[in-house]
Amino acid sequence: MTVKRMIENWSAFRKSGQVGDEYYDHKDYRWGMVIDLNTCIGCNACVTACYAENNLPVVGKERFGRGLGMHWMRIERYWQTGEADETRTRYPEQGAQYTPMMCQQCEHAPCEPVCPVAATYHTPDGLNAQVYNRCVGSRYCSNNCPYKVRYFNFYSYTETWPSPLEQQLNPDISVRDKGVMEKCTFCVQRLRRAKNEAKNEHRLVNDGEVQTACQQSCPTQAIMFGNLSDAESRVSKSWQKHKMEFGHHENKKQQTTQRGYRALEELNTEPSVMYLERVRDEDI
Amino acid sequence: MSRYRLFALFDNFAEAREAIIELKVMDLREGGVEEMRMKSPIPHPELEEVIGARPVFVQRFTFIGAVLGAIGGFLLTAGLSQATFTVQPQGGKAIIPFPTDLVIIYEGTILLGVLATVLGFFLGAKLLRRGGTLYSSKVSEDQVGLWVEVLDSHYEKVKTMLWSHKANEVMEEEVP
Amino acid sequence: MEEDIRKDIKWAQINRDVLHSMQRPRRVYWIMLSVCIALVGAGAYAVAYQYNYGMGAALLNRPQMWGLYIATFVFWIGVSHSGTLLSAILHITQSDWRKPIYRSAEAMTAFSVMTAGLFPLIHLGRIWDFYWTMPYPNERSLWPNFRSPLLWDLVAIMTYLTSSLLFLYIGMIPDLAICRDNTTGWRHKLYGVLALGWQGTDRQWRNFRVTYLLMACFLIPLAVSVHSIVASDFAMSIMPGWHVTSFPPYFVSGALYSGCAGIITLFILLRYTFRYEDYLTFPILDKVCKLTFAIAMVWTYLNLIEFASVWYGHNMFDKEVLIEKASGPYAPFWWSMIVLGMILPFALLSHRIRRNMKLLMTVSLLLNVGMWLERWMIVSPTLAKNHEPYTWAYHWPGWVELTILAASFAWFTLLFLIFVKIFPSVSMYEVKEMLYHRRHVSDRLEREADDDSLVVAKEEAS
Repeated sequence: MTVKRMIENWSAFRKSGQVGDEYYDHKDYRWGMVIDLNTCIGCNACVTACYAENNLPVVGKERFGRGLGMHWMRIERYWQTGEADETRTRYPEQGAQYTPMMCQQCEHAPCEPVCPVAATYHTPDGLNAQVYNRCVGSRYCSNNCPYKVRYFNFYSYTETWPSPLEQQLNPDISVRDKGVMEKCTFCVQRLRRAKNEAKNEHRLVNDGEVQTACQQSCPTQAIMFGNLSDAESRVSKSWQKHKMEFGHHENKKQQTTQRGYRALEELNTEPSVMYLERVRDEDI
Repeated sequence: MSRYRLFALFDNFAEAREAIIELKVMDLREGGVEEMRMKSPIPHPELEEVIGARPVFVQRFTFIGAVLGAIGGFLLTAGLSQATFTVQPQGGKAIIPFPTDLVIIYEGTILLGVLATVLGFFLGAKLLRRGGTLYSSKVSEDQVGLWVEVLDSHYEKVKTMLWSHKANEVMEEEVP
Repeated sequence: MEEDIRKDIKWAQINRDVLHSMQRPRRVYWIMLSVCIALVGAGAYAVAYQYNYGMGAALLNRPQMWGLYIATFVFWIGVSHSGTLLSAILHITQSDWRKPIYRSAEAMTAFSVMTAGLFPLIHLGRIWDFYWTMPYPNERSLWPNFRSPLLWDLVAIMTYLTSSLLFLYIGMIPDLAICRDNTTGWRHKLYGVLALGWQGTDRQWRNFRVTYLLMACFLIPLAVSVHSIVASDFAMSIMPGWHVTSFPPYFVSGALYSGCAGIITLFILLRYTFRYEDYLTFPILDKVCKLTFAIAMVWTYLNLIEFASVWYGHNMFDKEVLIEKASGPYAPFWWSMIVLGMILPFALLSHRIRRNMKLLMTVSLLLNVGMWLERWMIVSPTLAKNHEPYTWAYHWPGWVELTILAASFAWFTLLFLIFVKIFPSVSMYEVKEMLYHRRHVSDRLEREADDDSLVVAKEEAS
């Protein structure tokens, strides 16, 4: 069985070559996301939805202040001061900038090869999977993640849900014990259910049929999620419009309507999430 | 023909050297010396030349061990990664990444090389065999011992010769 | 000029002096032993506390996922390079002044590797599943991930531990024979088993010499590779401040540095405790100090070159980390490391300091403090100022981490205390060899000098 698997996967490896070393280019699903920072208002509804959907523990104010928060989706708020940045714009952007940051599901994920027990790997869907059962808690993956989107269970958080609050937990996903690393999964439990239903009906998942929790709860619909292998999906069209593709390390802005970029692209991590820049004053 | 074993202790290497040379000359002329060993507190290459150099086989063990270690290292990494193939695609890296396998191969070479060397040492030095026969704790202190196994016919002659070289002590036993 | 060792020491005297060190210990020894055991117990309690409540007890957070445990782990592996340097490298260069000191240095290697090996376990979130990092057959067909530098660590440390323990043991066999011949009771039985029937025959010595040389030849690349692999825990990641190609040689030179400073400390302690003035002489101490200084300069260069390359390139991430190290909250520790690691070794050049045992001991301990700080300053500042500014945070050790750090020193000392009372801490047969060769050489030189004078006399006569 090992030999058969070896031959299958070796030929899959040999067939790839469209983009870098991607093994799964020819597969049916490749989940990707687009987040429009111009539309995002930083309301944190996506954060709350993620907490509800994925059984995330609320660690409390003191522990959150110490940096132990377990928010798989977080809104990063940067505050820009009033000084003019001469290289960028004549009119300095005032106030807060919001970036919803979650696991970028990198194609060349730096977290994957460094786990000593192979608890994290890349799925055929294009997701970076974390296996809670296998994790021994060496935390090298989080150290290697440039986005720091991996969250470690530093304590056992079962007291977050005293009876009868445990009835609110999502039964499709486990509750993690102390010593285990976890992160955003693009709501893989929803993806599995949608794929199963579609498979029963002998078709692929349609665009818009499955929504991640953050996408579903966003009041301004700043988050778009879908299948990048499907050329007709909204995310594919958005990627094409902003000239974004896997395999390049810097998106040169050729016109003002091309707002797409990926976070820390130059590190060659190949994230699956594209951000659309805020519309700047000087672009209008 | 019975045999005798004599064990003589000398104060310094020069005396022991004289005794060995004379014994060798006698053995060449008349025979009678079955085996000769030298027991000393430190290794002494000059005496070993006189007593007769014998080949050492430890290096062969080392070489075989090192080669097996290298092959084993490669089989370990390449083979075991195949077994967990479903989790193999990691960070966009190859199926059998040679740079990472090289590290394990290197360590495997050294580990098995060292273990094989130790094994070769134990076998070559015949350490774990029983039969210490004649031995004196003075050997580990500061005196050099000469252990000879002679035939019955030459027993007296060898014994006299050893005493003549200012041996401190001569122990003997008969081999049945 | 002072000789490395007095040539008129009797071989029987060497046996007596060293065997005397293994006799019934004085009260001070028992007090030290109890203190060490108490500290190790405290460390065990801290580990149990940590696993009962979770790794948060170590005051780690996001992004500071690695703290003092990894720094101390690298430190102990560094200290372990002492024995390899002295035993293996100096053996191949035939520097016989290493002979009185290499036994304790080799023991230091073995015990510090045993101490270091505890830390990859203690820093795991789920220590009870640690055996998943070993390749063993199971029905789920799951094997460890050999691409991970942490797993290379595992293989390298196991290899290093096995090899250095074997090297220590094999080198000790002739000494164990001496111990066997001069003791009674349980010691006699123990040494009898361990000495494996060694009698010093020419056959045994011949094989022994070849084996020792071969093992030394293996041990040198092994030591270099082990610490390079530990360095690649950092170098193989993409974090700024870690992703530096000079890390492997930098770490190896830091390890040799740590090890040499440790040798000086041990030298002074053994010399004073066991009255080894005849064997652990001042000229040998001088040579060790000069060696330490040379390695300190290598480490200094590699450290400075790292700063130079950060300044030279325009990588804003690396620059941010370096500025953080020099001027952030960690700055006092970083500057202490610079002073203790780069400036203090110049004290080793002063003859007065080298002869003042108390001062030299303080200097060597401070050098090691500097090296430990260096390891910590590699781990924490990089994680503090990583790629994502939103996640910047600091880590300060709490009682759990500090207790475990102290317990590791106690554990090492405990192992060493047990070692010096059971095994000879100076290699007797090697000292005899050293004396014999020096006397032999000087006798031959004298004889040649006599011959020359004879020739001159003959010429004058004719």
